[in-house]
Order: sequence, then structure tokens, then C-alpha cells
Amino acid sequence: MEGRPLTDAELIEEARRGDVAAYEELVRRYEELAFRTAYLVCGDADDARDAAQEGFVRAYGALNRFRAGAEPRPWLLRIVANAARNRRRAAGRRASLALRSAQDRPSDGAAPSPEAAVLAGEQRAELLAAIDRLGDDDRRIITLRWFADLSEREMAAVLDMPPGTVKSRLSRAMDRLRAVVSGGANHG
Amino acid sequence: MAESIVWPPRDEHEMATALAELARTVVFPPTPPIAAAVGAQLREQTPRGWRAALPWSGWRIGRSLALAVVALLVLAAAAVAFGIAIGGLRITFAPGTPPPLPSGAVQSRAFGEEVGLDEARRRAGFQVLVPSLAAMGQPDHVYYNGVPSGGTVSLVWGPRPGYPADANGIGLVITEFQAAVDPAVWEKMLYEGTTVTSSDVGGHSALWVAGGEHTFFYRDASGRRVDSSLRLVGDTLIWESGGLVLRVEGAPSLTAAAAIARSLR
Repeated sequence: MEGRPLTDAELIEEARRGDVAAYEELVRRYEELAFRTAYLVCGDADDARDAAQEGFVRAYGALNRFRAGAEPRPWLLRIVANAARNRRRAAGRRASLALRSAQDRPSDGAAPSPEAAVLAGEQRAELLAAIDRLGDDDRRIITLRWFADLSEREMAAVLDMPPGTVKSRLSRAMDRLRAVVSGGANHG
Repeated sequence: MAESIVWPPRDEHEMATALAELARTVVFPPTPPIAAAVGAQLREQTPRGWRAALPWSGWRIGRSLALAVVALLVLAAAAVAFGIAIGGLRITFAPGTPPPLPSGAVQSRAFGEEVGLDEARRRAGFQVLVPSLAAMGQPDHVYYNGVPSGGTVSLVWGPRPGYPADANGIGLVITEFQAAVDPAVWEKMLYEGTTVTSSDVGGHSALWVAGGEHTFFYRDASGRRVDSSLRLVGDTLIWESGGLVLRVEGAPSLTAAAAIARSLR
């Protein structure tokens, strides 16, 4: 027993009994994922922070409705994403994601070999720019899948649509992204 | 090993490979300390007082508000009968259900420091009463809390026949403190589903608070709720006698609570 971190289910049970510290620990486990998800949904870091906080506070109030034994991840993400969606609607603007790639082109200008299992800095920038040029829905579904690393079930919760719809929409969005990249690449 | 990247990607699989590779290096805005903010917000939250349910707080009068108003009317009627008989105990009504209690709120320390009955009698600024019903016997635990002035004494019994244990293993609690006009008060907050019935204990007006969930906590002179004193409590009979406010909590019925109340010596 000593030193064993509590499982999510145990933390939720403690939180249900009113242990705010236990709930805080649970939030700590998911705050990054929730913030990033909210960011990809609403496109603004301040709104994402507020949405995540609001979502977690709401979830605390709804703990009694959380089904024991269920996965907390999709449940929490759904609540946070709802808050983020509301903020996006309230803002009424299309945000440009300020995502960037950490590995920019090496300063010495040396190009990686084509065989290297890394995407060259230029191509990463091109791919990011292509994602940003997509329509909101396509951009959101692609970034949630690949950058937030959500499962289809979690994406369904976040996007409030059936898993089957997520699958087909993701596939179409990937096609459109490929078309954008190919168009850009032809000029490159 | 990651797969080689084909650029530009020719099909969905190659695009997926490129995206997975990009994802390894993509940088999000830094994650703010959300857990700490959530914890702080939850700790700050207090049950909404009856003031929040008054008509001028908004135009939407929902079911909660209607219930709150009805309850306030019941309480007002009871208060008229009661006069100032519950000095030192404020009763308020909040819509909705009670918030989850903070950690440790249901532990024994919510009652104060555990002391023997003799010690409680020495410390309390009043004569501590104990029920004389043979079935109850002496309390299993006696606690003393230094607030309000004169202190609060809690007599706690484990389960007894007819007094099953609650979620905390408690069968019955009797709380005694001096009635006082004091900005620092014990406060009982009632929620939806709670009924308040006027009653009588040995000629003294009493209130039977039952049915729903209610909380019992101490509010200091600045109005701040002292969380360590917060408990979710069961059906309770409250009355004042000889300058003392008394509560019997956990009795299965008003009749049983009144029998215990009448036996206090």
C-alpha cells in the first residue's frame, strides 16, 4: 500500500466524498490533455485555460452522475470540450492555431537525408500551414486525432458525434489535407 | 523505429505517418496550472445562501427558488413561534443539493477535541446535559469545541438498537451550546427536500428538520465558514432550553428524538 499512487477510480471515489485534494490530483493527471483539447476546440490559449477550469469544476459537481468503473478520460474531455465550444461560439471568430514545430530547420542548413525517419523542418512547417488552411471542422478533427492523440471514442465525446461519423469525417479531412499539401508541394 | 516519410504523402497511410512524425515535435502553448486553480475554486465555494435565491437575484424563478421561498415561509412561521429561541444557531436554506464536503469534514475532528464527559463539563461554560434513557447509556465519545463562547459539547453514540449507524458509523449525536447573540454562529443550511416541522420539547418550542440533506457548520465572526466544522447531518431536533441550544441528531423519528430530548438531565 505504501507509496502507491491512487488509481483514477479511487481518486474519484475520494472526490465524491468531498476530498478536494483527491480531485485536484485527478485534474493534475488530465490538465494537460484537457487544456490541449480545449485549445484545439476553441483555438485560443486563454479561452482554453478558462474552459478547462470551468469544465473540471462542472465535472466535480457532476461526480455523482459519473458511472463507477467507467473511463474518466472521455467523460472529462466531453465536459471540457463543451465549455470550450461555448467559448468558441461566444468569441465568434476563427482562431489561427499558434502551433509550431520544435525542430525547425537546422541552422547549418544541412538537409536530412530522404531516408531519415524525420520530417524535414520545411516539410513540417508546410504540413502545419496546410492544416491551418483547412476548414475548422477538418482542422479540429485532424489535430485532435494526431496532436492530442485522442482515441476515436474520445474524439466522439469531444466532438459530440457517433464514433462511426468520426471515422468517416477524419478520413475525408485527411484526403483534403493531402490535396492541400500536394497542391503546395507542386509549387515547391 | 518510425517509418520513412514520403513527401508529399500519396495516400492516407502516408499522410498518417507524416502527421505522426509532426506530432512528435509540435509545441502547444504551455499548460497553465489548472489543477491548482480548480482546487482553489472548489475550496472557496460555499453553499449558496438563501440570499442568492431572493427574487432580485434574477428573473428566472425556477423550481429551486419556489421551493426555497416555500421553505423560507415555513421557517419564518417557525421563527415567529420560536422567537429568539435559537440564538447562536442560524438556519438558512439553499436551493439544490449540498456540495460534497471537504476532506475530513465527516471525521471526528469536525466535533472538536475528544475529551471525557468530566473534562467537557469542566471546560463548558454551561451545565452539560446527558440523556437519562437507560437504552442509550453513556455516550461513546465526548467532544469539546471552543466555539462559540462557552464552547460546544458533542455527545456521540455508536449504533444502538433503533439507532443504526450512518455512513460514518455514528448512531446518535447530541450537541449543546449556549444561545447567544453573537456574529459568530453555528449555522444549519437546508437544501431541497428538507422539511421543517414545529414541535415542542418540555414546553419549549422546537424544530424538527428532516427528510433532505442538511449541513451543520460554524461560521466565524467575519462570516467565514469554518470547514473543519462542516458535517452533513441526519434528521435533527433543535430547541432551546435554559439558555442552551440543543440538537439531537440521528434519531429515527421526531417521537424518538423528543423522547431523548425530554430525558436530558
